[in-house]
Amino acid sequence: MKFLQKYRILCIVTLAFGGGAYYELNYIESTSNFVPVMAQPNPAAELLIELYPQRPGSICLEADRAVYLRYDLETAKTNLETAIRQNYKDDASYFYNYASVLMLLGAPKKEIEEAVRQWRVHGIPVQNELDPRVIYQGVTFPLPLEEGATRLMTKSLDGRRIAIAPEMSATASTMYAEIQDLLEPNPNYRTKNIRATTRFTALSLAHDGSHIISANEGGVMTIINLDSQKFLHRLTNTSGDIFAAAVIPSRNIAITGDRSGLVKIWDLVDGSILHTEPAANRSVSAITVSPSESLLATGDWDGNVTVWELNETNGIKKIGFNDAGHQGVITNLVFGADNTTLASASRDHTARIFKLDATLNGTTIVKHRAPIYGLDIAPSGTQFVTAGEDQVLAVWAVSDGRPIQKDVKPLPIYSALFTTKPNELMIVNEQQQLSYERVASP
Amino acid sequence: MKSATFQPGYILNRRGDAIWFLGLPYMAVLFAISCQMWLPAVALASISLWITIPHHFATWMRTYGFKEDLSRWSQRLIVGPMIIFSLTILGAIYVPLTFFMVNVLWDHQHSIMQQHGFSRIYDFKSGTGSRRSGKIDLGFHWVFFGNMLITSPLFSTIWLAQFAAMGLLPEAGTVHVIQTCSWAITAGYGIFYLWQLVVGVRNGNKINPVKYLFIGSSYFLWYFCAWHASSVLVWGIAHRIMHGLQYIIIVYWYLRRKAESDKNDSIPVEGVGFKMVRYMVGSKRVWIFAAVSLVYAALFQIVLMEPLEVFGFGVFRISEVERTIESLKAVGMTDAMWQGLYAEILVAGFGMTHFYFDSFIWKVRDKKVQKGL
Repeated sequence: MKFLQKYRILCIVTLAFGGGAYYELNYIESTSNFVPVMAQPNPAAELLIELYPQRPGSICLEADRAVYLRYDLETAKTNLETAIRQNYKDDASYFYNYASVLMLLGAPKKEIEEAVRQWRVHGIPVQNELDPRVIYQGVTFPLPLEEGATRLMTKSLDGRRIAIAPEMSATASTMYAEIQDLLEPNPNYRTKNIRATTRFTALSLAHDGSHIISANEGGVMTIINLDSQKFLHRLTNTSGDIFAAAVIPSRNIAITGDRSGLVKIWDLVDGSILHTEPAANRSVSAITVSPSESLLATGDWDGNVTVWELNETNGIKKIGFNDAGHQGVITNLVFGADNTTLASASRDHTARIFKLDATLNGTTIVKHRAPIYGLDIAPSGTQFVTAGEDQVLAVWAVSDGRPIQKDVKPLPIYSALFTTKPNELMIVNEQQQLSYERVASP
Repeated sequence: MKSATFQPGYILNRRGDAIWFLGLPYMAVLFAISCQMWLPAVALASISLWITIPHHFATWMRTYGFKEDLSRWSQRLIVGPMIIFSLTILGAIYVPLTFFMVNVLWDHQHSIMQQHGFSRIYDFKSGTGSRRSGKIDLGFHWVFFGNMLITSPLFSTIWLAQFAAMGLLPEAGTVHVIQTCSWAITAGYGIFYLWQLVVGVRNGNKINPVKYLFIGSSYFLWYFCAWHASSVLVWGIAHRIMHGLQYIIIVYWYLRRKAESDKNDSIPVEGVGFKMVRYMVGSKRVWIFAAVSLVYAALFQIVLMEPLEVFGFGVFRISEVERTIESLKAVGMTDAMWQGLYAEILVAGFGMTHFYFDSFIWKVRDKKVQKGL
C-alpha cells in the first residue's frame, strides 16, 4: 500500500498508457500514408469546418479537402492564400502545401521559389527530399499510383476477355496493357499486349469483348478490333488527357471523357468526331455504358454523376444528374445488368447505388476508410463489390448496403470485377496477376 | 495594503512578484502576438529551446543538485525516469496516438498543478486560506482550465482531431451539448468559489489579494490566447514563457534560499557537483545559473540532432531558406522520419520525467520544502 501511495502517479500514467495502447492496438485501424499534399485530411476536418468555419485552420482544412477529394488546386490555392494572409502559422506544413499546389498548377518560377522559401523559413527541420520543386517536377493530377498498382481493369460482359494496365515505373520506356482471352484454350495465345510510350490513363473493352479502347498521357487514344486482330485507330485528343473511355461496336462509336470536361463521340469507321458535349466544369473521370448500350453515365472531378441517353444519330442527351451524392472525384461507374441501377465510387470514401431516373436518387451508400476505386455490380444484380486504398475488398447487398464480405489485403486494391460465374470475383494481386476470390452467398 | 480582510504575501517580494508572477503573463501575450505577426513559425521551437528546455534543467538542479534532496528521493529519481523512458519509447513507436494523448494530458495537468502550487505558496506566505482552500482552489483550476480545453476553438480542434483519429468522432450537435455543459459547470463553480470566499471573509478569514491577481493573470493568458488569438503559435509561446520562466524563477530562489539558509556546519559532506550547484545559485550569481541553463539547452539541441539556428527565432536561416534545387541534390537525403521519432522520444521523455518529479518535490505542506520557500 505504501508502495502504491509512493508511486501512484507512475501507476496512473502506466495504466493510462496500457489502457490507451490496448484500445489503439485493438480498435484503431492504422493507415499507411502516402503522398505529401495528397495525404488524407484531418479525419475531423468536416466537423471542424462546420464548427469553426472562419478559423484559418478550417480554411486550410478546406484546402486539404479540395486537393484530396476533388483535385481542386485552384480552390486550394485561394484558401491557402487566405490563411497565409491572415498570418496563420500554426502548422508549417501549409506553407509546404502552398508551394506544392503552385508547383502542380505550373505557377511562374518566381512564385514557386518564394513559396518554397516561405516553407523553409517556417519549417524546421525541412525535409529536403520533399522539396516540391523536386517531387512535383512534371507531375499533374491525377497523381500516378505506386508502381505495380492496377486501377485500369476492364471486362467484357460475356466474360471472354479482360484487360489490365498495371502502373509501371515512370522511367520505363515502354508501358504495357495486357489483354487476356479467357476462353482461348491455348495458353500461348491467351495473352496479348498493347504497348505505348506513356502511361495508360484509360482502358475499356466493348461489352461483347470485340473491341478495346485505350488512352495514354498526352491524349493519345488507340482502338483495336480484337476479333479481327485489326488496329483501327490511333488518334490524338486535342483537348487534353483522356481519363475515361468506352467503345460500342454495335453503334460504330467510341466515347471519351477528357481533362477539359468534354465528352466526345468518335466514329469507329473514319476516326472523326461525331459529337462533342461539355459534360463537366472540370475533368471527366469516369464513363460507363449500360448493358443495353442506350445509356451512358459520366462522373467528374467535382463528384457529379450524369446519365445521358444515346440517340439514333449518336448524339447524347442529359436525362439524369446528381451533384449531391459525392464530395470527391468519381473514380468509377458501373451500370447494373438490368439497366435500372447505377453504381458510383468516389475519392470521398463512399460508393453509392442510384436508381436511374431524372434525379438519380441514391438508394444505398457504403463507406471505406480511404478512396474507393474498384467497383462492379454482380451479374445477378443483388451484390456489388468495392475496393479501395484502405486495402479493403468488400461485397455489399445492392438493396440496403449490408456488408456480405470484407477482406483486408496486403496492399491497396484499385480494381475488382465480378466474373460471369456466380459468386466469383477477380482482382489483380500484388504480383500483378489475376486472382479469383469466392464470395459468400448472401 | 493591510486590512481586516486583505493580507498580502509574496513569493519573492513585491517588485519581483509584480514582474514575474503578475506582469509576466501580459508581457508573454504581447510577445507571442508579436511573434505571430513578425516572426516565422519557428519562433515556437525557439521558445521551447530558450525557455522550456532550461526549465527542465531547473528541475534536474532542484532534484539532483542538493545531496539532501537526492538522497531523500533517490529511489523515485532512478525508477521514475526508467519507467517513463520505457513507456515513451514503446509509445512513440507502437501506439503513437496513446503516447500523444498521455503526454498532452499530463502536460495540461502539470500546468494546472504549477499554477495551483503557486496559489498554495501565496496562501502559505501570507498565512491566509482555510483548511479547505487547497481543495477548492484545485477544483477551480481543474474546472476553469478544463473548460478552456473543452470549449475553446483552439483546443477543441485538437481533441476532436484526436477523437476522430481514434474512431470516436462525435456529431456537431454532441459537441455543442458537451461545450454547453462545460460552460454551465464552469459558471456554477465560479459562483460557488465566490460564495465560499465571501462566507470565509464574513467568518473572519483573510485573503491574499496577490494570489487572486496571480490567478487572474494566468487565466487571462490562457483564455485570451485560446479564444482571441486562437492560435497554437500564440498560445504555445505565451504559455511556455509564463510556465517556464515562473518555474525557473521559483527553482532559482528556492535553491538560493535553501543554500543560504543552510548553516555551514549543517551542510553534509558533498562532492564537487553539489558544491558547484551551491555556488551557482548563490546571491548575485543568477547569470551563471542562466548561462549554464542555456548551455544545457544548446547541448540538448545537439543531442537531438536538430539545428542550433532554432535559437535565432528563424531570423538567421539565410543559408537554409535560399537553397536551390542544385544544392539540395548535393546535400542528399536524410532519414528525417527516424530522426523525428528520436527527437520526439527525447523531448517527451525528458518532459514527462519533469512532470513526474514535479508531482512530488513541491509539496507546500512539506516542512523541508517550506524551508526554501
